[in-house]
Amino acid sequence: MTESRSFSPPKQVDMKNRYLAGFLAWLIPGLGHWYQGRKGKAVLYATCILGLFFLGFFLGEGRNVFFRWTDPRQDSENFRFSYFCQFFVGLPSLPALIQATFKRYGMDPILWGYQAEPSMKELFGVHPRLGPLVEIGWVNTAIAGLLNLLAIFDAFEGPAHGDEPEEVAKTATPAASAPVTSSQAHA
Amino acid sequence: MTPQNLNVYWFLIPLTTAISLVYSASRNETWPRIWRQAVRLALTILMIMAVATLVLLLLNVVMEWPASSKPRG
Repeated sequence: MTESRSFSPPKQVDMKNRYLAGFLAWLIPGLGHWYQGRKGKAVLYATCILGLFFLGFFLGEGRNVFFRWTDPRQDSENFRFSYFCQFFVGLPSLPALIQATFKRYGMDPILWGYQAEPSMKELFGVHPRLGPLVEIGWVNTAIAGLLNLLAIFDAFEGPAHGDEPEEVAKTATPAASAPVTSSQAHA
Repeated sequence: MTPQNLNVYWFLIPLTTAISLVYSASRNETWPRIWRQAVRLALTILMIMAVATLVLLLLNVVMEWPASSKPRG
């Protein structure tokens, strides 16, 4: 017997230019979704991701987001692996990359040293004063970047589930959601 | 009140909220499902962290117990 499954098709999301949407989502969290007309999600992503990033930045007194151009194979101790996560927040963490590039070419920092690499004295000075807040701030900024990766993927690829019933969404693998033919049903 | 005076566990709330909302929004498109999954995920994260904290506290008590039960002098 052929099983018939009737459920409403996934909600159609107008992805527009998905490459541009993905880029905008990286540049400012939520901007890609705003461009696609998914304004509620845009506000949610912007609030959560930027809120988490700036909370972490504030907790570390702005000394936990910076980059240093070093070869990780030569000097892994001084390489900023955490910036790889923070980078995905986009524009809010981009000054760190610019400041590091300026420093590499022997130029003075711009923007009053915003996200420029702090001196060792400054860097070691925050730990005794702020204690665990430095680490909490660092974790928040890095997780904000990783969360924006999910948002970028959502802007580029669309949601995993539309508005089909939840039970169907849970079991909807490509094979399970394919129409069942009569020969398969008899087998 | 400064952040230094706050118990560090308070910082779990914005972190858990952001993670659960963003993850849920990236998987679903409709708001009722986003909220529902976000609440479920936030509770799961908090519950797992509470259990992990309890286990660590228990281990700490067990490890400290023989030292503290020794007679002084």
